[in-house]
Amino acid sequence: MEILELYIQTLLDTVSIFLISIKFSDKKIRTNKHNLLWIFLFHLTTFITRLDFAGNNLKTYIDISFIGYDILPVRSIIGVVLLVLFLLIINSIFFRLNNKETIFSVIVTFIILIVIRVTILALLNIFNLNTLSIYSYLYRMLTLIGSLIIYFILPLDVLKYHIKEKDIFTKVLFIYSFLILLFLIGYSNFDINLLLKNPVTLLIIFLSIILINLWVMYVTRENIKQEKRVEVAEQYLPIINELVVDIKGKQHEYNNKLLGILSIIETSNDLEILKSKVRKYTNSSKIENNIMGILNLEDKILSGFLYYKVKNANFNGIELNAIVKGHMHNSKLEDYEIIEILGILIDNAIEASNPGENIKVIIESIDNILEIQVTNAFKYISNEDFLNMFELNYSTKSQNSNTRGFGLYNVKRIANKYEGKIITKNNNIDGKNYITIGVIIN
Amino acid sequence: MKRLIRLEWQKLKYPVIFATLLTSLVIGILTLTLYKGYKIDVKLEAWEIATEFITFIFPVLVVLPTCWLMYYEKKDNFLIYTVTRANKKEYLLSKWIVISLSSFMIIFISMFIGVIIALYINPEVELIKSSFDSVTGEYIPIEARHIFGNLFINKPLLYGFLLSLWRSALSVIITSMGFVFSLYIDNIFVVLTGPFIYYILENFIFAILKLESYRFVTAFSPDSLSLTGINMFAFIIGPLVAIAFISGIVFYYKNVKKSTIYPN
Repeated sequence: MEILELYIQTLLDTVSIFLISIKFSDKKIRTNKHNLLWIFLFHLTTFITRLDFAGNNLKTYIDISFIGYDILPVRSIIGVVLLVLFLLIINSIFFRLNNKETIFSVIVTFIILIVIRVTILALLNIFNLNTLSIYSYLYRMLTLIGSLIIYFILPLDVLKYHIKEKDIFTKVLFIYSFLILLFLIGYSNFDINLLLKNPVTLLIIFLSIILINLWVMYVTRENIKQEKRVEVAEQYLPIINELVVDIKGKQHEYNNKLLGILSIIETSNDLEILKSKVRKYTNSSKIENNIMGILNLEDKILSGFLYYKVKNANFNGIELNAIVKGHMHNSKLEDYEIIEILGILIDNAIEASNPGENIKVIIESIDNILEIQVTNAFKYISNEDFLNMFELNYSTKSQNSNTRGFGLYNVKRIANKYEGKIITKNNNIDGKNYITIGVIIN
Repeated sequence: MKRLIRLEWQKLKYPVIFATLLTSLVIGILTLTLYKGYKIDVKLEAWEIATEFITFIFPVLVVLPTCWLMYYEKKDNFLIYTVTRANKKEYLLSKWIVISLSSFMIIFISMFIGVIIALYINPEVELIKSSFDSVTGEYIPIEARHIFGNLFINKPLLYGFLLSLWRSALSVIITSMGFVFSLYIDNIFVVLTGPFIYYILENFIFAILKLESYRFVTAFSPDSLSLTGINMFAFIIGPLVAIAFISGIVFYYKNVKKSTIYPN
């Protein structure tokens, strides 16, 4: 009976921690091998560590203690350290997070778990429900419900954003919050009754931790956005300056070009040969309409970016035509987000295209609706394949690399952030299939 | 080869020196303070009490400062860069030599500092006879209940020196395990904590199987069990099982998974 009780309690704890942990991994709750193995291993570990094998050479007794496990599945600081290490290993293996994300997702998981659990325990104590026979199941079930709310409803994107970005201040704050909570629990010897002796102090500490973390995240988020705007400007504005210098150089040769045309006229006797020579000469001297179109864009960062991509495509023998209508500033996306979407779509199109082929980029920002579409020649793609392309770690390119499969996923993430939609279609033009991938954001 | 060893030491010296200083400081402080809450028969027992905590975490102490390097050299593709500059076997061997000597140094220096503090720095304390036979009520001398009792009582400095040497040798095995993990596994958490997890699991499994005498921790800290539970095999089995485990890992990755240390 005690074994069954322990089994259920540790299972409830396991699922609660799983739900919070998986929230940071951008993975979905599916009954796949990885998720089931995670739950199995964590459950097995927390179950076995609660068993105390005692006895002598003749017989072994299994003793189970239920005291001190109300807040966490362990009841000592060493236990917490071991649990953290174990979570680091299984999260890094099964959720495939990078090292930084793994560490901070585990820290934040513990912070959220402790806050939810202690709050629930405090409420149950206030309403004198701690005397119920189902008390130990009740608070675990409520924690599970809390974890489900965290997973499905609470927007943890803000936390994930700060974990991914170079935001040292917030990360230090997460560590301090974790250590403070751990100190509180350790000081009370993992005894919830001791912890709740001063409920007002406890409430003040918890609220302070939550509010300070939220405020710091809000402030640093604005700083990060500003840094990204500057980064994108620094990267692409010098390129447009180069283009302007390039164009000015061509204009400087204007007189020389006129003299060149004059000399062709003077030296040609036949009208047809004259026409052909002048046509050839002017074509080689003409500034491409495409480049002029890019130079004339009002958004200089977009201008620099597109010029860079046109040159990149030309280097691969591919022609890239960009049509831009409207002003990007009307859109609610940040410049760096537009650049990120375009960068991913255009890079994918260049990789998929062969020399001699053509890529078309349409960027329209009219009446606050931003539409970005990139079209290139490619084999027919079914709707199911289109959907899969936007999933994390899916790639049609090398299967051996762990760095693939993030591009279109990031496009989808940005589109979802602004409640936008993904555009995908196949077009048959002159017997050849073209695919279009893009986003539309209101 | 000498140059390679010097090069590897340059890469690891700061973390190793830091780990040595930190461990020495911790053992020193614990040796100076913890024994006051215990009844001790001889001065060196203060050192034994202090090193109980270190016995639990020593795999982390020796693996963390040494085994991270190989992981990052593989991750940053620095390892491929070395192919044209150094013989592969010599390069890996030099790494193992430096890592092993580093872990040896961390444990030996910190342990021996604890011995010195316990014997010569700790203030004189009242040595209380603490063990009595439950039937006859007679005092059980420490020589009769402590491993290498005569040496422990009559030549405590030599006892401390030899045990520190032995523990350092065992730390080389644990560090080698971490090194092997770093050669084949691309997960930094598994590399750095794997040997510690092995240490805990091995302890747990042997305890369930009632083979406490043959745990690695018993070999590391033979005073953790009563004299009746200790024999010569207690010093050998635990380390041998660890070496067999390391060999198993190498065999698995080399012959079953066909992994290579250097990318193809």
